[in-house]
Order: sequence, then structure tokens, then C-alpha cells
Amino acid sequence: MSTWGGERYGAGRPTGSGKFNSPTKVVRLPSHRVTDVLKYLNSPSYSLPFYSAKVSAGFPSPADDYLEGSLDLNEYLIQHPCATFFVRVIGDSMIDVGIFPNDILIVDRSLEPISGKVVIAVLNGELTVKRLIKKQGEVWLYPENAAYTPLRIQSESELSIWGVVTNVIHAL
Amino acid sequence: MIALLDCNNFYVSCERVFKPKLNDKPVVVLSNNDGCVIARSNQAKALGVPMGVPYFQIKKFCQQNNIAVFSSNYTLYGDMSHRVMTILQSLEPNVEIYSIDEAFIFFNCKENHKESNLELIANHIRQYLLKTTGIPTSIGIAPTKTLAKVANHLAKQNTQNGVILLKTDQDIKQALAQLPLNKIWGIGQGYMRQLLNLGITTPLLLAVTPPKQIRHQFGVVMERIVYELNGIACITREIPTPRQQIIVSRAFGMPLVSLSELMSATSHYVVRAFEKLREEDSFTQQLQVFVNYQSSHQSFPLQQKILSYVFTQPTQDTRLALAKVKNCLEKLYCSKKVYKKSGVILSAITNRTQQMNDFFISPVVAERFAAVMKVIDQTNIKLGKDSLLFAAQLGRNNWKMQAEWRSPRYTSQWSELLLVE
Repeated sequence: MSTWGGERYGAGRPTGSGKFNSPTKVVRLPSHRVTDVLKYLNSPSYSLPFYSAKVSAGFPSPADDYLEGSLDLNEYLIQHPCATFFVRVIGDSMIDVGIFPNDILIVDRSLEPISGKVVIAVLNGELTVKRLIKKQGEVWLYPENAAYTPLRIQSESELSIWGVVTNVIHAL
Repeated sequence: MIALLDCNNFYVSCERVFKPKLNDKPVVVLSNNDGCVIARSNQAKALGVPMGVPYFQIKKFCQQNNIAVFSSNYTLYGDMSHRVMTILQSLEPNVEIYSIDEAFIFFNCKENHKESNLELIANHIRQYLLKTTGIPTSIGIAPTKTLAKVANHLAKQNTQNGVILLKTDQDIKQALAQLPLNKIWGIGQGYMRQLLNLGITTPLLLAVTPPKQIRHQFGVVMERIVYELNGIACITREIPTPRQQIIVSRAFGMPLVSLSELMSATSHYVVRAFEKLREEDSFTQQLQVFVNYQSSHQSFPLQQKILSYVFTQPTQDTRLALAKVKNCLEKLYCSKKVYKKSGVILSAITNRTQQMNDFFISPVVAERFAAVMKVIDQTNIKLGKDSLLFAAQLGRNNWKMQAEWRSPRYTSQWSELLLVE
């Protein structure tokens, strides 16, 4: 039996001795997410648990077993990030429903614009925020302010829905 | 079957999402420095605006014909592209992004998709993308990438449909008969001329030419095109390779004459180049700095001077590079010249696994350098580009690009949100 060649015991970089101090795995990523993932891996910033305890003198915190994820506004407010846009309100046509001038609206374009929803509509090329009402075969845009009058849509061609408003951000 | 999805007049479409008033109007988008037309709406095309025409030549024409003009807003276009591609990938498992507005979709007709449903699937994809992002798209489906591009081209011309499926040989023949040679993927003016000389005047004629003859005359790339035109897929999925070179350069918004302005501008390019380098966790060992300047006579083309610097060790350290670039610029600079453009080229790029320790710098010091760069990168990511600047980047900003008609950055700046009444 030849002793030449073959595996040399103890050869090679030990598993887990690299950059991440742990065994690694090759993963395929979509090209456009590579930078995001690298940033995530290299950044020490991530959401902190709501309660965290310093382990000192070997006494663990009684809360350790109850730690949950953190509260993330993005997760709470945005269901479809790629179809979600922010717009800013000018004018007071919707103040009765709590939408004031300068507020920011979270608009989800993937939602169905059903009757009763507050939507961003394109009316003859202009963007407006109103409540969409469909009744008795007619389509209306309702303001939420007594000083404004509801608008009946005469023909389909003048109206298109840009997106459905899901939340309003209002600074007090 | 392979599909090519591409966004119709992408930059224009992005602008239209946020300004629906422009939906049927002639619109053009200009390149960096408001130089040339890089995108036109169909209405602008119909008015005869050519692609790539310098804006100053058509300025009056645009005013007379009420053509809306935009400076390119790459921040916005990049974000919209990301949305389109991400949504597409959520709909279909096998997507290969090809450019900012194009992607190939691989349909597995044995497992996931029935061939008879492909047109329906394609239309659903188009409708969903239009709804969620506002971007209109066209889809061409065929047995090969080259034919998918042909089909896509025809889908764009056919405004009724938006989806063209080339299934049978008859379909393919009819499609090829509708396009000139230079609209085939991979055939530019040069190849077209050579093919015309051989009597191959149409894509159909090219498709029936024996591939071996083509290979002998033009090489394997053209041979692949012939196979692809005949429905035999040769162009495989792209496997991204690490960059061989990183180049960052821009023309200045206005000509520069002082060394300090030149340094300030070039420093920005160095910083950006090294950001890209660190994003890939790569190291460079050669840096070239070049400057383009006007010679004494206005009519001469721009001249260029270039200097190289080779680092003793591969590096990712911006500060080191800035110091060396400063030295290079001092040597390149001449007070009598007018500078129009500068840039840096990083080459001899290696990745982290190929590194050996620097004999002259202790690992502790090297690690500290790396830590500093890391903090700078993370801060700039978190708080916005150029939140932390190197001193070398300071200076008057008159070298920054002109963008007189750039639309707001609707999706990335709180202060530039779309306004609704």
C-alpha cells in the first residue's frame, strides 16, 4: 500500500475559524439582494429585544424566558413593501376622518379599491385623496369635510385608482 | 420556454407614475448633466425625437411641442426597478434580472407551467405589475433568449396585446420576418454590415445559414445566435463573476480650473469606488487616476492624462487611496488647462480569501483601519449618503452634475414626497 498522497491529517483551515467564527454554508441569493444581505451580516445593528438583561455575576434575569421580538413599525404598518408608497396631504378635504394637511399617508397599491375605502385617485390627471363610494351602479368620490361636495364620476375614463390608503401618520 | 419581460419606456414610465397628467403626453428624460435624450415616451417618438440626441439641439422643438423634459432621477428609477423585480420574483421562481428594466423568466413547462397557460400567466404578471407599481411592461415568450427578445420587441410594437408567444416554427418564421437584422440581440451595425456583404440581409436568411459557416466567418458568438434563432437554446443563465475593475467617474457640471476643486471632485469618486469595493469585500492593488481636459483649441477633442499607483498590499482603505490620489493629481495638474472630467479605476482586484498579511503593518493596526472604514460605511448607509465625509471631499460643489429638471425623489426622501389634495 502506497503511503504517497491521500488525505493529510489536520490539514486545511479548521471549520469555524473564519470570519464568522462558525461553520459556513454557501447560499444562493438574488443578485439585487446581495448588498442588502452583506450589509445585514456586517452590521451589528439589529432590533434589540424590548427587555434585555445584562448577565452579571451569573444571575440570569427572570424575564429571559419571555423575550419576544421587538416592535417594528415597518412590520406593523406595511404589508406589501414593494407596492407601498408614502404621500403627503395638502388641503383639508378629509379632516373629518382625521387626515390633516401635511400628514403622511401610507398607500398600498396592491389592495382592492372597494367601496368605502379611502383611496388616492387620479381624476383627470390630478391626484386626490377621497373616500371611494360605489352605490347603485354609480361611482362617487366623497370628501370628509362639510365644506366640500361629493363628486359623481361621469365616465370611467376620467378616474383611475392610484392606491388604497391604509394608515395616516399625523404629528400632534 | 423563456420569457423576456421589459418595462415600456422605463424612465418615462417612472416619472408618469407620480405625474399621471403625463400619461398620454410627449415626455423625454435626459442623461447625466442634462446632455442627451435617454428615454422617450411613445408620443415623443411619434413627434420624431431621436434617441440619444443632445438636448440643446431639440430644446426649442420641445418648447414648441410641449414636450415634458426631465433630468434623470436614478435614485427613483433604481427604487422602482427594485420594486418591479422583487414583485416579479414573488410571482415566478426562476427570474434572471438582466438590466434595470429587463428580466428573463424561465418557465419550466414540465413541472410548474403548462405551455397552454403561458399567455395567461404572462398577462397576469403584466396586470399585477401595473397595479402594484404603475409600470407598464411587455412580455415576449419563446424557446430561446434571443427569440424571446424578438418576441418582446414585437409585443412592444403591438400596443393591443403586450404579450407575444412564439411556439411553433411558423410563429418564429413570421416573427423573424418582421424585424431587421440589427434588431436581433447581439447584432449591431458592424456585424450587420458584414452579413449584408455576404448576402445575408434578413434574420430569416441568417437563421437558415449553416452555423458552421457562420462560426468560421464570425466566431462562436454569432454561431450561438444562429442556433438560438432556430430554437436551440445556447445562452445559459448568467453566473455573476466578481468585478475585474471598478470605475467611478463623472463629467463635471462645469469646467474646473483649480487643483482644489479637482481634488474635491475626484475624492468623491474615490470614496464611492472604495464603497463599492468594500460592498463586495474585495481588495485592490492598482489604482489609476485620469483627468480629461480641454486643450488650447476649443475644436480639438478632449485630452486625457492618466497616472497609476500600485499599492504594496491589496487594500480597501479609502484614506490610503485618497492620499495617493492627491499625489497623482498634483502631478497631473496643470494650471493652464480646463478640466471637464475625472475618474478613478481600481484594478488587480482580489477578494478576502486571497489576502496575505501585510509584512509592514501589524494585524492590530490593520484591523483598526478596517474598523474605521466599517463605521463610516454603516453611518453613511444609516444616515444617508455622504453623512460622513473625508476632508478631501470638501470644497465648492460646482463640479456636481447639472440636473435642472430632476423630479423629486418620491420614494427615498421624506421632504420630497408626492403631494395629494
